[in-house]
Amino acid sequence: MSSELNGLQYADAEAASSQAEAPATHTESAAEGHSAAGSLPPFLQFDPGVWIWTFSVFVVLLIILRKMAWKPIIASIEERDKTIKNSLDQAARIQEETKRLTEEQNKILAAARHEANALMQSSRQAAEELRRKLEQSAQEEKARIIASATAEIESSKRTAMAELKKTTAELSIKIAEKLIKSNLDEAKSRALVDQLINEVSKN
Amino acid sequence: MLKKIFSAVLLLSGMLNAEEGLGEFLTHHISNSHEWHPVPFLPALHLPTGWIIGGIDVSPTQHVLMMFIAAALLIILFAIGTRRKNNAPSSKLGHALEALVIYVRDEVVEPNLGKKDTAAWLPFFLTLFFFFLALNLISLIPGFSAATGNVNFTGTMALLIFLTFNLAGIIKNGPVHYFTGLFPSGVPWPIMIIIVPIELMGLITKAAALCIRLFANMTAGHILLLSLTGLIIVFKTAWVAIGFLPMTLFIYLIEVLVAFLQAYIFTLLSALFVGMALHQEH
Repeated sequence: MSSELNGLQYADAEAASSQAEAPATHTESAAEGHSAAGSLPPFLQFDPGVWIWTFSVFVVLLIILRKMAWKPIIASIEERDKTIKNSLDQAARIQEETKRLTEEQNKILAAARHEANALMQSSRQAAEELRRKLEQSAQEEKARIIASATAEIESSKRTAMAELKKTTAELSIKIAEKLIKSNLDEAKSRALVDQLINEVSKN
Repeated sequence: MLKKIFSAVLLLSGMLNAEEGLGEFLTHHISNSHEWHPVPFLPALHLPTGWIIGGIDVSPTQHVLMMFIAAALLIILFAIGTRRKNNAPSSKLGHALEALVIYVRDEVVEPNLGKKDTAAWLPFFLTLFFFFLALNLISLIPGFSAATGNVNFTGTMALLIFLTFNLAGIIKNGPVHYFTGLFPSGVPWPIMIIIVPIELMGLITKAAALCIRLFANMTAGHILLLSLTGLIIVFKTAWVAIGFLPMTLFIYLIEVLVAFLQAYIFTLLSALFVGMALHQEH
């Protein structure tokens, strides 16, 4: 504002000088203004024309650039910013989703592993059980077979022994019968007994 | 290469010697005029004079021409840079411009105005930033001059900012609320007698500082460059170029930085003032 005040002083000085002498050209009047102002150099002079031009050029430029440049550029920048922000958000969401899925996957995997372990454990147990049961039943079968075989043998032996006794008795009776029938000397008897024994043993 | 530079400097010195002295030379080059002399030895471009509207001389001056060139440049650049494919600029220029646009939005406007008001205010601050940037940068092309180094130009822009942030505050908060909001509440009335003028002055100083900062920075930079070049006049020989040329180049590169910096600062402070007027509670 001080510059404006200085400028106003200048304008007065200039006006005074131009009143005294009719201005021929601008440069001359500027020179007069300079000389009238004394201490202030010409580049500090107040020039209302420049004020008007500056203001007009700026306003026109503002209107033109606003329509031509700023609006499209800013709209485009904002659009791009939005796209970038959306992309980033989406990326973050996807990352979170991936993390969640990975966690879930790991959980499922762990559960499956655990289940498999349990299954293996239980099947191993079942197999062991089965093996033991089979072994036991085989043992029992064996014992049973052995027992039955032993009984069979025993009964066969007993039958055989009874048969033998019976046969021996019959033979003894037959031998006694023949001995009595022949009633011979001792020598003859002995020969006969030997003969009979032979016969018996042949039977 | 060196020979070329030297011959250029000699040509330039030939032109410079026509001036009366270093002071005249400097003043001439940073002052506004009704002619533009972009190429040495070719005749100057005389701008029309005598356009008087309502008693005000509105004939275009050199700095007004610079504004036209900057505005035309911006319109052409953005006509190319705005073209896009799949929400991305289709040219490298477009990418570069978009980077600046995003920078202004995210680092300058949004932190000061808040997310809600940014959409409405962004075009204003973008135009401000790019207009200053274009003017600052074209002023570094040899033959061009700095309209941002003209106190009338910076004064207009500062006045515009002053009116903008006050009107924005009045429209947003209502005139009564806005003006009472300028002063701290709960202060005893005798102190208010001191505080009210201080705050009102502060309001005006903000805008005045904007005006002076840009003007002073741009003018100082150009004076520095011209002073180094003007050593030819002081020493009356082009051979001093051996010493000052690297120095001038260095300052010139700093001026490129300053061109960006000053456009940024002006826009940043404007956004800050508008933001303060809109959100008085802070």
